[in-house]
Amino acid sequence: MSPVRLRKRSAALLVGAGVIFLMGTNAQAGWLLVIAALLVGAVLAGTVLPLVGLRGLHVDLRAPAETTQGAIASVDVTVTLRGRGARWGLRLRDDHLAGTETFVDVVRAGERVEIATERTAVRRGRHRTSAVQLRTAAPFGVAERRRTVVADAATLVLPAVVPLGALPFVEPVGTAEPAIRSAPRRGRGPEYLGVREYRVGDSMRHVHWPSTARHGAVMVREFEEERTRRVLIVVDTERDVPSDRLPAADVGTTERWRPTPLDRCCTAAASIATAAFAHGHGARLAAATSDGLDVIARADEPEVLRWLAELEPSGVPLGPTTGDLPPAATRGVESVVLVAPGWHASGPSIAAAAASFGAVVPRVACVVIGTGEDAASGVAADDALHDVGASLIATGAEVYPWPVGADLAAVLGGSS
Amino acid sequence: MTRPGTAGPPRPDAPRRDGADAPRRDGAAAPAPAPPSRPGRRRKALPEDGVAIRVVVACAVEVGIVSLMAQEAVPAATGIAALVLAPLGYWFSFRRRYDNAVVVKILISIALLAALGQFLRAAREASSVDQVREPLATLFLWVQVLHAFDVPRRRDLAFSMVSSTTLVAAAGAVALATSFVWFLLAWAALAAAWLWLSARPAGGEVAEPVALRRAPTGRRARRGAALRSLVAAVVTAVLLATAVFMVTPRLPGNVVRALPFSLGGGAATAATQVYETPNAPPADGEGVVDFAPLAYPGFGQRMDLRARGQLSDEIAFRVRADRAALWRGEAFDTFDGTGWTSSSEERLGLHRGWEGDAATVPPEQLPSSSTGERVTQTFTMATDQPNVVLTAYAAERVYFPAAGLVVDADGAIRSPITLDEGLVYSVVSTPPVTDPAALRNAPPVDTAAADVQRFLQLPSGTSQRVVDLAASLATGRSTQLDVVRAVEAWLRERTRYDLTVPREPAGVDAVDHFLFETRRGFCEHIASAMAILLRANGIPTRLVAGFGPGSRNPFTGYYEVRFADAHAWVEVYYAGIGWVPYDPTFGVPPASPSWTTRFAAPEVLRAVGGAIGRVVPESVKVAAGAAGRLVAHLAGVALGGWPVALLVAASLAAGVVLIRRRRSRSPTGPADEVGRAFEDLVDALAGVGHARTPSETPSEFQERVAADRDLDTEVRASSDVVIRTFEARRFAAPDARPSDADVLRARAAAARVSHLVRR
Repeated sequence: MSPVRLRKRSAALLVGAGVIFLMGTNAQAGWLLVIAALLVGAVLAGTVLPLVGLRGLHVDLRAPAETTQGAIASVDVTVTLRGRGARWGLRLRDDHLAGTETFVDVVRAGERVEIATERTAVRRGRHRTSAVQLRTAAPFGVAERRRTVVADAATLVLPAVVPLGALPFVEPVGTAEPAIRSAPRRGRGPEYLGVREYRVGDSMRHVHWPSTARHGAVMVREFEEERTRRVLIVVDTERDVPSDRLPAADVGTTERWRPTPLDRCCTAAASIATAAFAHGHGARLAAATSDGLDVIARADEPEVLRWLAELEPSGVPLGPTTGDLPPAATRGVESVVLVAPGWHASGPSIAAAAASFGAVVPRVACVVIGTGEDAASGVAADDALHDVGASLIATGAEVYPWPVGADLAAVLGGSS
Repeated sequence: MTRPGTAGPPRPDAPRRDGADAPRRDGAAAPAPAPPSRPGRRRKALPEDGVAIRVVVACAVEVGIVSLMAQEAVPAATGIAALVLAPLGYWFSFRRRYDNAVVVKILISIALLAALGQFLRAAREASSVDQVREPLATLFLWVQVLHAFDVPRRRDLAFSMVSSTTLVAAAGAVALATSFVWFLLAWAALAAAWLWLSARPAGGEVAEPVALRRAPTGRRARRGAALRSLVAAVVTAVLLATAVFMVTPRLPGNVVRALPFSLGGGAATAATQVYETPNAPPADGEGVVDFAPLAYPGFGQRMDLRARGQLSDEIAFRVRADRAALWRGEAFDTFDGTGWTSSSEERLGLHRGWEGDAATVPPEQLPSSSTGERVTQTFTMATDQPNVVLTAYAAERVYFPAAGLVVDADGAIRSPITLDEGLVYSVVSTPPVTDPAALRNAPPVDTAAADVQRFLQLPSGTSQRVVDLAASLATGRSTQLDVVRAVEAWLRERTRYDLTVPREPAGVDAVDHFLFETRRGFCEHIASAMAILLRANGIPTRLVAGFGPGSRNPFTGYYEVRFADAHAWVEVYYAGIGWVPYDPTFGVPPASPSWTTRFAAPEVLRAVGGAIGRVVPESVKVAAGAAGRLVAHLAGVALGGWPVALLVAASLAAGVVLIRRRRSRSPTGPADEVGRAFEDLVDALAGVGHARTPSETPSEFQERVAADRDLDTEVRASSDVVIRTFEARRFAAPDARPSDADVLRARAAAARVSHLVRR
């Protein structure tokens, strides 16, 4: 059992009791000694009673499996008293999605109190909470007892998605069919799907001789129908800054939710991918992770968002990793969109990546994210954004700078 | 809808404090509500929206005002005005708690200056400290009332509670009666309510839930659980406060000598030579004035040992002093066989100005040698008393609300006015030396000296057997002290205190009759017998009438002296020292009280015991007494063999400590949380076909679980966490054992597995 912590109020009461005791002793006034004893008794009772004030309490947390960064999520905290009597003045604090403290005046024996809270998912990624802290200073607030109880909750916070119109760096397609299907359409596209038995009309160029030998029948390669224009979205995950280092004024948000540059990269990537899907395009995404380059292809929107939700700073620069990209990743890709924070030091690496992609795909666009600060280089954030953009323009890429506080949809309306 | 950190706007036009709007999807700056601020970050306090806490504080202040009025510490008009205005102020302050209060503050400041000016004017006109009391209390009340108009925040309300505490304390300092407890109880209940309400989170401190729902669980909900819990908390607080009160020491205080009455202009200035005893009955046919319930006939020209009757248990007066004493009223030197008179006609007026406002007793009236201590007493008359100024011996200075005090040759002080109900006066006394060594070394008294002769007077009819008894008691005693002690001891052993003894036959020497016929009598008989036996041995002695110490009220701090405490004792003269009191009936309260008398516990227990004794049947009392005696006997036996008892107690304590330490170190005890998590995990996995065999180690069990690809990845990972923590708890070196956080993680992982496999 952890001990109770005395609060300032206990000192105030004891000092008051001491003063009254001295006055009572000086005047031999018994009632003053009674008052002093009452004050000390309140301190003692207020110290002793919290010792049992958290006994028998059980807490459950209920949270949504998924939510979106910046959105309000409902999290329910349930307190049950399995002991006797009642527990007073309970404060329950948990850090699920956002640190939240709630207050329950009383929980009676055999009673379950369900507290529905709403809180903003301030951080992207997987959130797992294992404990809830209980505190009580009842009844007199002179001493506080704390206890941490097990309560399990998990939520994946997806990046925020900004509704975008037509993407300037992807040509519109003539079909209204969605680009994502559960099964790919077979056809003449460049994507290799598998092998099947030869049918009349199949080109002999597509005969797959190893399979033919193995099966004893003519087998041909089967390809996915090329009905979509693909966009490859590459997210620069080299580094990020802790959110508390971002000045609120720069972020333009309220004091606590400050999306980091990587959060904003993911928001941009998610928004572009969602818009691409909506306009019939296919989208692949790639990003460096601490385990190497990760590519997600043939995924639907929720999968893309989950993939983006889990991205973390990798420490791997974007430029060198471009060479690690498998050729299949750029196969059929019409446009590559680099989404990168505009760190001044990252400029050469991003430019190298843009140049590298420019050699293999027809169109390279780059969304450069304003960082709000650039302490590493000592260069002002706006200047860094400008410098990185200039170096990208030099490679022939289209550049879309997204400063802090600007509207992404407006930004993607035109390039610099 | 409210969200974390908002706590609900108190009113529609109050500014939003969180800045939270509808979530935007522009990807730029989706505002979020502010969660609770981090510890240590100081925020500006918001106005207090709670009505209950304001009502409680206002009521506490009202109780303080009423209690002051009940003690007549403030003028009634001022009190009534404060009673009306204070609640108005709190209501006004609540209504305008969000408004700019600059104008209000300016007006309050002006009013405060006016109240201060009035106080200073009254203080300038005051001729004594006492005359400032009432204006000061009035000023404080006005400060409190004006403060009530500007208490927007919780902190301001806390100041009001401090003020109410001060008001109640001021009332308690002058409260005479136990009935003050009702004010104190009301205030204590309100203070407890304030402590509870102010400990609740303030506005914006915690998240306001969107919804809060209460539902019964599977267990049967206990009715009245909250009420019982509340009662238990209150009882705990009361018991602890009582325990603290009982062990709070009553230290000798440097008692304030500024008096609760005015010394300016005495009620009368003409000294009177006549004793006036209110409520005294007329003399009977033999010229004897008997006891009346509210009149002790011992104060007057003559104390007659033939007087009979019962005195009332009504409180005669209260004394505030840091120790018990015999409250001396009058002394007699001449005994005629049936009563005592004073032969000295000398009266000396006591004058003020010798030391401040006090009437000072001339130094020659004081003992030749004193302890050097000063005992301050404040007497408050509860009923009309004779014009005898009661004091602890020997009075040095008297603060009395009238001029014209006189003191006789025996140190008895007489007032020109009767001591009417409500009269208050204070006395500073210097106790005589009672140290046995000093008394034993005192030189022999010069019995031939003129000023000693009258204290050796014996009635002409003193019988030979009285003289013989006195001589026999002095046989073998080498010092005066030894003789005095021998006489005192003999009287205690051989005589019995009895208020029902019949009056002596006419013409009989009362002392002789008491010593050789009845040996029963009351304090006047016993003290007279001692005086005569000592005088027969040549020891100067005088008889003193007054009151016993009474009983100290542990709550008010006053000694409550009743009419039935009227008493008589003797004073014995020691050469070079002076007069020393002896009480052969009940004994003289010690000049230096022992430390055990410094606590209220015995008095409280006695009072509680008395209250219980009045309602408990006699048979129960007898059984309880027997049980008490048995316990006392056992305690005596244990104390007699204290080394063995000490050894047994030490062994028990060591055993308890060892068991506790072993339990805290043992990872296999019932309190092992990791063990419970492991058991929960095993139980959960048994439900999905992974029952653990008895011979299987935790690691082998985990290998089997991890190899089952049909199980959820999360289940396998969580199982790994639990089992690794369990093994570390059981088998790792002490410094590599899991931390509290690891234990929590393991418990959470076990709970997760249970949840997942159920799903």
